[in-house]
Amino acid sequence: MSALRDPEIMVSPSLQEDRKATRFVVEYAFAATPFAVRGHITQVLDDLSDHIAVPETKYALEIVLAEVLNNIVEHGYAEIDKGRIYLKACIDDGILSITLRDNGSPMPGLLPPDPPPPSIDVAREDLPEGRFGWFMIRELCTDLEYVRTEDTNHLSLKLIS
Amino acid sequence: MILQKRYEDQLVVLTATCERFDAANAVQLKDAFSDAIAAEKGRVLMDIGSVSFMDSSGLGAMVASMKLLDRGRKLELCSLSPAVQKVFTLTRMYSIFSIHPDLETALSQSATISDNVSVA
Repeated sequence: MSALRDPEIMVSPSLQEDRKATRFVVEYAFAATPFAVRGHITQVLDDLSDHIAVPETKYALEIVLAEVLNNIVEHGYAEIDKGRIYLKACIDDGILSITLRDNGSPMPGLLPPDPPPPSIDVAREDLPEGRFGWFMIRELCTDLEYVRTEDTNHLSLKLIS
Repeated sequence: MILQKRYEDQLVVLTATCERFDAANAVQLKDAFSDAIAAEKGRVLMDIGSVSFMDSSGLGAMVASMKLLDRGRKLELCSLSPAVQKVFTLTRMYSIFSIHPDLETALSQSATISDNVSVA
């Protein structure tokens, strides 16, 4: 049985605060739909708001969350109904890390995409309308790790602060 | 409704009425834009002051929208929030749009340009 179907993890969100250290963790599990994704991005930003001092970091976090989550909905679960996403965000000594799990299709070649910057020096009709997502994730994150185990994708990353 | 349309002199102003341009409404945005500018030949300004966040799907819809304008017409944007601005900057896509800080500036520039046109 995969972790996503574990009812313990369906409780959303859960908050734990370590009194000794400056560690703050939020966890969520939700349906892989564009509207659930939208709602949870707003929720994460709200829940972490008091723990992120710099507005720039909030913008970066919102962009990264939107892009990784939309990729799971649009690609990972493209062929699968009723998919779920598990998301954990953690702030530890000012470092913001995100962990995601889903039971969608594996990433092509078992590697997270690393596209070149969008090309803007082209004719208008050839301007890119996509492939911005992973480019932005790569620009804003470090320590990106992706592992596929059985039926689960595990992705973790840290925001560049 | 995601865009409200009105005219300011020769300028078509499309005011966004939502808080997000994202994967959940990108198609709606593109459709609304397409409907709004179908019969328009002049300059088009989108006031996105209400939009606090835009993701890559929202950006894709903006690029697709601009392609609906004929050659020589850039899609003009005003009142970008800091988070929206960050997406434009990261992807370098700000350079393909004509970006004004706020509505007033956009409108005053529009007046200058239509004066020039009438002189020519």
